[in-house]
Amino acid sequence: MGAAIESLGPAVREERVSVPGGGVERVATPEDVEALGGLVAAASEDRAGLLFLGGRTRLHLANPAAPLVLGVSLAGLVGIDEFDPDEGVLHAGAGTPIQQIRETVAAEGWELPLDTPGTTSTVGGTVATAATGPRAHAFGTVKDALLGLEVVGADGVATKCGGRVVKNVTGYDLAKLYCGSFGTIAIVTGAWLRLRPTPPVLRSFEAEIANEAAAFEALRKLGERPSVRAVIWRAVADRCAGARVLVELGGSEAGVASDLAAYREVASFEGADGTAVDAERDRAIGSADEIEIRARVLGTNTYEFLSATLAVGLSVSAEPGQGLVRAHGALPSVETLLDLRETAVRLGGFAAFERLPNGWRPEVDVFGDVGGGGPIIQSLSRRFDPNGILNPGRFVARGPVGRGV
Amino acid sequence: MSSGSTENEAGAPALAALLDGSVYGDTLDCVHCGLCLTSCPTYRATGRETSSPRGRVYLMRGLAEGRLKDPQLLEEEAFLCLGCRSCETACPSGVRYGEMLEHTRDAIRSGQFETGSGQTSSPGLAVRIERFALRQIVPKAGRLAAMVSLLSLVQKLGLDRLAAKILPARLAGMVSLLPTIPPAAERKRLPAFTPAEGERRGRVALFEGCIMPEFFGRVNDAARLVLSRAGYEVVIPETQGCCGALQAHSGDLDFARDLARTNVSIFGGGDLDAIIVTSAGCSASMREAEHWIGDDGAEMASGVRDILEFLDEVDAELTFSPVAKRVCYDDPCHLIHAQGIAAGPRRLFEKIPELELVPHANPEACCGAAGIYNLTQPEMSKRVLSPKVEALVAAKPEIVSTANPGCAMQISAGLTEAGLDVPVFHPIELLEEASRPR
Amino acid sequence: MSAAPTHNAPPAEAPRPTVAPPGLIERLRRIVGDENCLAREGELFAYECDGLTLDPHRPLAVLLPETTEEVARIVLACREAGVHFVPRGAGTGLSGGAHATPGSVLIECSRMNRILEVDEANRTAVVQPGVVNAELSTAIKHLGLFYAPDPSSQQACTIGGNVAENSGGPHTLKYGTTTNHILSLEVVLPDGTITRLGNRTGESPGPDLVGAFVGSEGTLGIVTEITVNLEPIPEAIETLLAIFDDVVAACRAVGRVIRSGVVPAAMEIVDKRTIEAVEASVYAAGLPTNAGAVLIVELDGSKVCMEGEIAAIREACEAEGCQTIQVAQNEEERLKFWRARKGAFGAMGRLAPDLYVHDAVVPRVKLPEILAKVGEICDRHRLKLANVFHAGDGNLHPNICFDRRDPDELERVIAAGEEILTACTEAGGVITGEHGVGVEKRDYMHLVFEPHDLEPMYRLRETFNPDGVCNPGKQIPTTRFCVESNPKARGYDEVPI
Repeated sequence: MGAAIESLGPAVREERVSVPGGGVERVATPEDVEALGGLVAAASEDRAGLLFLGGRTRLHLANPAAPLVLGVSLAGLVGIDEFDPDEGVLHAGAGTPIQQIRETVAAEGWELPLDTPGTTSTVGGTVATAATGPRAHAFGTVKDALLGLEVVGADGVATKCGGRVVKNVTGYDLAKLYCGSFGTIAIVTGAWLRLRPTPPVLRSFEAEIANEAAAFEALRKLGERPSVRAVIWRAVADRCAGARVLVELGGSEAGVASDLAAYREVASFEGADGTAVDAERDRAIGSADEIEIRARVLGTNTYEFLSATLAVGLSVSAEPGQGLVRAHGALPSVETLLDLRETAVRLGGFAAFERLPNGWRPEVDVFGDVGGGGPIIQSLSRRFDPNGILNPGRFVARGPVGRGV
Repeated sequence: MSSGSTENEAGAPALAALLDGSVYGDTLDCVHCGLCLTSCPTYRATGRETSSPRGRVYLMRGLAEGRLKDPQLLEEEAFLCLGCRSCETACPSGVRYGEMLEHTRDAIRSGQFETGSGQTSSPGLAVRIERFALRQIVPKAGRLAAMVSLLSLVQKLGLDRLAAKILPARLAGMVSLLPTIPPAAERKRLPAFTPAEGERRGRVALFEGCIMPEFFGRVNDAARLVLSRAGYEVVIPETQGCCGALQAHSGDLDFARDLARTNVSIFGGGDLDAIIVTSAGCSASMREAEHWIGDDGAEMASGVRDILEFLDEVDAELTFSPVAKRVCYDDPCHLIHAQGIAAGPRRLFEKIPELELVPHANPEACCGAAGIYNLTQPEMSKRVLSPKVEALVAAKPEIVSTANPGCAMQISAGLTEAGLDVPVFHPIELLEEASRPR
Repeated sequence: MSAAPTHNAPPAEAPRPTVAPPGLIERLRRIVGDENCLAREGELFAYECDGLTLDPHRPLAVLLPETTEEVARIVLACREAGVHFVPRGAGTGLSGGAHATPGSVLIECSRMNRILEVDEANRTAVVQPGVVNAELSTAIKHLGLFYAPDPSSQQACTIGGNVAENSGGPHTLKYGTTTNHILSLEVVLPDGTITRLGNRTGESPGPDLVGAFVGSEGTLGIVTEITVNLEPIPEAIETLLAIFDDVVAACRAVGRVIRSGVVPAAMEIVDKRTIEAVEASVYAAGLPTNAGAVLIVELDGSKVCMEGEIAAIREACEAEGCQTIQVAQNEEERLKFWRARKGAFGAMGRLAPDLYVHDAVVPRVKLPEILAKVGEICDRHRLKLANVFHAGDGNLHPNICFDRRDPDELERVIAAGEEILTACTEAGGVITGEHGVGVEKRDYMHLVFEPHDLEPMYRLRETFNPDGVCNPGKQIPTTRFCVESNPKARGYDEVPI
């Protein structure tokens, strides 16, 4: 550790945390935002790379780390500070487990529109990695649930953006920058979240469907129905049995019944276990798969991408209506993987490689080209973290510079 | 009050002072929200704030307050405006734009004609010819008739086609806008009295107008016949004059006021259920009589009814035979925006069996005719017309119908140019044909 | 302990030119053509302000480009001449975001008004920034689709302007604001390069630059192409009007509705003062003037759900003592209900030459106390007030009418505005929910943020707009570390009489 950090004498414990490209031997757990700010400011002075830790469910989702000096757990910033059931908003510290919030608000008839995989994920980690689940169909992505954020910048200064109200254009929408930045722009310390009323009726259904473009397209269109919360299309390469489709509906009794009837025109949907969507969402946690791809393409191209992944031997879990395909398994070569990325880009979107064999990492970027925003994000990173101490190396934006006239 | 009220060197009031005295108070009703912008045909064509109602009101206000010195832009914009008053329909604050526009044009022209110097530029040749025509020809039935006869001869001899070849583009464009002049039989005066057919329900006067008898005598005649079939006695005073709309729109309010006074003396006092008008431009301006000449105009203003409005209002009992045609109705600005009449004409069409009223994408926007606008601003007039022609072509009608003579001429010319050979009728012509006793 | 800010205050500003530098206008004319380069006195005068009539400034020129390339060339020409530039949509904004700044040219997008592409199957459209909000929905209606954000000015405002302001509207309760509907943007950066942010899926790994650009009030660059998400037109729409004895009960009913699980498309409250103003005007909608408040609820969705949802709304309203609930039986009646809400603007506008439409947000549960407070503030300052608000969002719009030619009244309007904003922020709210900060509220940012909270905002702005040539001085205070409230510094005392 550098001199400035040493002089603070932070309480650190010996703990090995490995991440792609490196890891740390020691972890500090600041007890409040002020302590965190001091630690980060000192690290900035020492130019010491920090590895920030939340629920540790997505540490594998990273490019190789630049040299790291210290792990910083946000577990000290825990707790639901404010929750007014009449208002339907909530404030929680970054270290607060999502599951704890879900249970707290459910008791008052609300639900948290964050569908982060896993039960140990925290608010901070969810925001930093923009971790969504299948209910993004109804909830939107993580940024849509954020009303305001508090962060600590690379200079150690605590700042806030947004607020607790549901409609707000006071100043730039910085939360959009922090969310999904993998902790490379600033470190989230707390968040104001918007809740949704729990639907009166919630039901899941399942059906076996021929793995065909026409059926997929039919389901994609049904995604517009008002009560649809999640649709998951699972197919496996080495079986020609077809796809298993899982649907979760939520709304009034009449609304759910009407939408179910529409689904039953496509296939014979039968009732499924109420936890089926959760189980599918959490499938990747601790998975032994070598490869995990998360790709988004234009809705009408989803089936084409899905077929491309099946063709190379991966299993898929796709979300019709979202243009989203998660593919997992093993691949013979880096080229096959990169071909899939090229396909995703050609089909209007991107492919992120959430899990990769470590040996492939140096030559494969986890996130790929982010287009014209690449150079801007690089410039943004230099301004927000000039010494490169915030999760260094984890997310580096790539993309072409704009064109001139 | 505003600080722009100055007099120029010649001692005549400058435009700023004239505006200050007339429209300034009304400009303050505008809260600058901009909701009028997209309703304005010239804004749509140019994208310029200065060619929008909000921009023009702001220029009026700025000049009156003395914050804007150069009057030239308002002088141009006041006449680039079509006066269609779509903006009044769009305005949430009830700004009386049409009235302000007339006052502004009047102020500009007064400055030009009365001082010819100072802050306002002197009127150009075109403006002088226009004023001469509107004062000396249009309202004088005999002179107008003589002129139209002459034009008819020109058309018969094919000289108009020759003119199109040899005249400068702008004049040639004017010639192309002229409809074929109807035969003399359609241009003769209509009978002074027409009795009601069947049971008498009332008595109305028919206002013929100045241009209508010459170019659209058949429209007035159709109105006369339908009114009679609906049980109304129709009187047509022989001495009636021009409504004054064209003069008011061109900035000659004094002359328009004189015409209004004449009409009040002709139509006032009789035992009439209504004064029926077939041209939306005329009915709209006759309804302004009270604003123009005060209380004297009130009775006439309240008695004026557009023919379609009247037939709808009294729920005229007419028997229609089927007309199996696809008809596009286009709202004249002076009917829909100036008088708020849109549903009535459509209800009448729906009474004709088998007639299919086909909606089109652009019924409420100005066609660019706007009185004599297509003569004074030919280029902008065409730009304004083109979206309407596109919409009409797309709707594939067999008949296009609109309730104002200028619009009929303009739309007809536009359709011809677009290669769509479809007749343009006044709704009353269709109602007349369908209600003819078989 | 915490480190000193990493940025230094910028160098003192060079004085801005008051006339265009030699040759600039000619160069701009060559780019856009004579008709689309406006520089006469009257033209500049007409462009001195947008929907906010306070603090006007005449631009050096107004440009009406038609293509992305023209925008980029204008930007380069301005840069080389050392002239600032300000993007403008239709100029309907209410916070002065599109006001020319001293010595700047306006780049107005009204001629960039083409719908470039509609992808029915993927429910997206690509539009130029000058496409009028309502006209996009009209153009795609036959496909069963609509563009959801519906600011009250939607008949005139442009989608480019909506992107700049992150515009909301009554239906944001269910559908979200503009930011929730923008997938990708083509922008001309302040250095003149043309670049694309995001892709058509609406998601891109890493920081969301599209999200940061939306609502940046034209300070990060100029939007030249917008890919938007479209929504299916709901099968059924139902509109209810509930009359309450007092506004507190109406607010509580809104809370009950939200907790019931029903998500209405809109919930709007019109208060007693507004009912009185509307009913006394030509916009009278036939509301009882002794009512304490009127709640308008709009539901949309599946036909089969409507009956149940209407029942839930009834139950929520009746539980708060509502006596009269009407359900619109036809389109005419639906429009009549809305007239009570939408007529407020017109009714107030006729009472005085100027109308100040405020915009602030409080936690929904704080609405009743804030309304009382706002009423008290305006009474104390002897100002005519009407309140309409997006009750489901806690977004209030106190409308204050005044006459800017009366310096004393103007001062009272400004003082009352500041007190209203202060009260809202003290209640946990913010100073703008949908109109933007612009020049109007720039110097009130300190009510919500500490100076150090603004530092990351400067960093974001400097990333895109490092030399501050694009719409300078909007949204965040011009000079760092100097955010004391000083309305006088905003030029209000220079308003010409």
